[in-house]
Amino acid sequence: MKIVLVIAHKEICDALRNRWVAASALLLAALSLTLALLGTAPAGSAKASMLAVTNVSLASLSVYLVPLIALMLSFDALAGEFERGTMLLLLTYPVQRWQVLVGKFCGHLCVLFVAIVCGYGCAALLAAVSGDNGVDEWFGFGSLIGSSVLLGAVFLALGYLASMVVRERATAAGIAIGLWIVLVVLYDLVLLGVLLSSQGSLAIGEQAFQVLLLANPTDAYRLFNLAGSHGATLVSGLTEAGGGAATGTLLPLSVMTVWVLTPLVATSLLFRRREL
Amino acid sequence: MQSIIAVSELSKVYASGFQALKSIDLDIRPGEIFALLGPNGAGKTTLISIICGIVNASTGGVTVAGHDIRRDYRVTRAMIGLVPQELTTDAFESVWNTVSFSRGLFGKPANPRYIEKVLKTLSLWDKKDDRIMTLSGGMKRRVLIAKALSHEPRILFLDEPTAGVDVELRQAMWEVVRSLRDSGVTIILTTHYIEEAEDMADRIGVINNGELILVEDKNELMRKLGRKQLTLQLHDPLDTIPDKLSAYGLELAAGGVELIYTYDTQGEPTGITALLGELQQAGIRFKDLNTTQRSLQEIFVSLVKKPA
Ligand SMILES: Nc1ncnc2c1ncn2[C@@H]1O[C@H](COP(=O)(O)OP(=O)(O)OP(=O)(O)O)[C@@H](O)[C@H]1O
Ligand SMILES: [Mg+2]
Repeated sequence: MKIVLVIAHKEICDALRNRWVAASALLLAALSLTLALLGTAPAGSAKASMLAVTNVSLASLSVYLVPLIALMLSFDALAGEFERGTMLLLLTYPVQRWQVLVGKFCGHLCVLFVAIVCGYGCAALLAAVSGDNGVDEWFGFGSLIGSSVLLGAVFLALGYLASMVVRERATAAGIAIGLWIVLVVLYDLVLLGVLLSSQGSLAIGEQAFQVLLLANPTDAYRLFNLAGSHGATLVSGLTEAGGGAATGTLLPLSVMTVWVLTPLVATSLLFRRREL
Repeated sequence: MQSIIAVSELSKVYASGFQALKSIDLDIRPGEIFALLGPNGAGKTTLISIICGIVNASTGGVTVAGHDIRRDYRVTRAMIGLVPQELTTDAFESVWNTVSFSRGLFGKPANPRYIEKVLKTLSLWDKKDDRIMTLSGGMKRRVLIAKALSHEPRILFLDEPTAGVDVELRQAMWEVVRSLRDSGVTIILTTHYIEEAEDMADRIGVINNGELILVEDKNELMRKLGRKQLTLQLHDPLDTIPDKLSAYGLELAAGGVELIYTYDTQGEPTGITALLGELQQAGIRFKDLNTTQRSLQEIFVSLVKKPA
């Protein structure tokens, strides 16, 4: 346990030193403030509180940004250390390989958490001073932060897997970008295509569509935040169609958790079998 | 004396099918400096990597202070410090942090005074806040030594510690190694410099093509070096050495036209006069004679020379 903490601590120090934390927090803050300010203009007449609107716009921002930040943190984590040779020395210490992986994961998760809280906190502060927000909205904000960190965890884990399966970090970077494009952009486009071409009568059936939608961690994230913000503007037409039936919050969360654990375990197994 | 590292029948076949080690048996005694000599690709780094747990042995096993390196890896690795051959460090980390990080990974509580002492002995104290990337190669090598010493190991592996280190620094480094040995640390080093092994080591091992071809006490080796050889070029080749001359321990070489007599320079008398007298009596005539002294260098070269 102590070993895991030492490694996590080092990752956090590294991220602080190379200003990863600062940069990603700033980026998230700038975008979330912009969204908060833009969002309030038309919504001013509506009943929804500013925080509720902000929550929804932040959720749609997170879907793109959080995976990107997480992948950039993780794609280099193993391949980079193998390439520099520092991993070799690290593994002569009395540490187990899974401890290295879990240590890095914990460290990066902390980095993500701090960046998200600082970044989105700005928007929440702005909302807090500019209007009355109920407990529900604050609860919504809390679960937005939590689920965003979970979404980040999914892409950290996927990034490690990419970092493990290849020898060179450049290749790992390529895979990471590919993962982002497929899971965040293409997957939805394809589903949307299916939806549009079917014109109301889904060829694959409502059930299958729901399953497909839930299977993707980013859509699970969308569904979760939709369910959490009743009555607010729907995040996208896609989730409106798919999430028509109440999916609840538990299912999307479990899907995301599976998406965290599966790549982590796979990476750990590959790591264990790796000849140095 | 019980050995601190016991390597038995250790072999390594890499995934490529290349056999890097062939049934190595080696015992390292506690508190000694053991020098491993061998040409490039002999298997020195492979052997060290197996003991340190980053390469898996194909067959055979290693125990460190009686603990199996696989089963009790925590115990054995905690006793070992490794200075790798390649300069592998974090570029942006400061010297102080990287050394403290190593100590932390060994599960040891922070001990700034000890780290300070290590950095001072390695003349790194004034660089402690510098980023590693701003250091020279020799300094980086010393940072790696500091990392290896961070957890107060009982065994230190130095894989070519003096490659790329200038003469003055090399001397200073050996000073450090000697004082470590005096404090009870066992040291295993690899080198290509024979003088270095001659200078530093208590025992010397020579490895070639994955085989350990010689392990000997340095003093014993040097005593052998104290010997000279007298080579006589014979007129007519001999089939066998006459019984009368057996007391001299002669050897025949070059198809019977060379007669070699090995003698101790420290010995009085050397026995040359007597030998020459007896040769004349036996009717063995020679054309020429010369004497040679074998150096460690020569022994080394003859040992590792590939058979034609
Ligand atoms: N990962 C690997 N896969 C395949 N072969 C390897 C691997 N690592 C080393 N070898 C081979 O094993 C042999 C021994 O290598 P090793 O690094 O142990 O030599 P060395 O004695 O340390 O040489 P040097 O003096 O150059 O450092 C070499 O022929 C090398 O090509
Ligand atoms: Mg080597």
